Amino acid sequence: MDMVARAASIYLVLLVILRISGRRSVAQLTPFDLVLLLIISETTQQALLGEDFSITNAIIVMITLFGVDLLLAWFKRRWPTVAKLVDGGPTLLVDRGKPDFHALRRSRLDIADILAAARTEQGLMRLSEIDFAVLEADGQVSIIPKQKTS
Amino acid sequence: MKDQGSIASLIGEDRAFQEAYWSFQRGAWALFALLITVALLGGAGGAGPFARQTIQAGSAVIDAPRVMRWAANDRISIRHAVAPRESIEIVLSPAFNDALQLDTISPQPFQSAATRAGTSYWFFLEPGARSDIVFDVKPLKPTLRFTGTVTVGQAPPVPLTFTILP
Repeated sequence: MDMVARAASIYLVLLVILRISGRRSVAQLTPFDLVLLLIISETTQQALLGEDFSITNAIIVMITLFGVDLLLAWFKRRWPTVAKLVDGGPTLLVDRGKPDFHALRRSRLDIADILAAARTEQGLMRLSEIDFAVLEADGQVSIIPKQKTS
Repeated sequence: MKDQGSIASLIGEDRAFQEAYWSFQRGAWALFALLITVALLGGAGGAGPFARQTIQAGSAVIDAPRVMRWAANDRISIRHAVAPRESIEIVLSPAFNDALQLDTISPQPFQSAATRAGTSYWFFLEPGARSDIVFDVKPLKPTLRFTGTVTVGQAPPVPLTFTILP
């Protein structure tokens, strides 16, 4: 019983900590973020397995983790509020060419991040070429360029 | 012309929810800082200025953690600045058996017995010299508030209370 409780509680604690820490998609990971993830996985391994390194324990822990994940996915489908709480939603960062500095500051982003996304996604160099920028729930910044008037 | 409301609904933005989430996030960061401070002070077990407690038990001083962690090794020591006699009996109440696994005792007792009062251990001491009797223990289960009693020699039993974190 305790191994199921361990796995489920570690899953929920990680979910809450990662959600609170803020959005950052895998694509945005810096090398140090990657190292941090490896350290976290190493740290949680002992808490997940305890001193029982048997195959039975490992199987039960894996099944519990997948089970909790499936359960959470079902909750998210069933109740959209749960999905919003767990995954968050999109945030408008640039509205009709005007940066929303409040949203940027609260999302811990700046104009440089918007411009970096604009260069990567659309090949845009200037803020004046951006109509809308949206921080997506997965941490990506989507850029919608201004319509060119001829 | 697109207005802000239609843009927000188009992308599915809920700014009120987002504002609430940002406020909650900042509160959670403050909680993180508080937890780190508590851990640094010893409130989460391990080391720290407030990690351990000392309790006088007759001529001895019991040094024990305030907070233990489930399945992590910890130490309870009973110290005599000046050993009063050649041998001493230490009794740990039955509650200890339910909460703690005893890994090692140093020095080894020359005799032990399970009694109604708990587990008794008898140790040789060098009269007049300082002595340390160390119990290396491992908590068996998380407990919000554990209380057991320790009896050292002829002194009355003293309560030993600590928390075992998961």
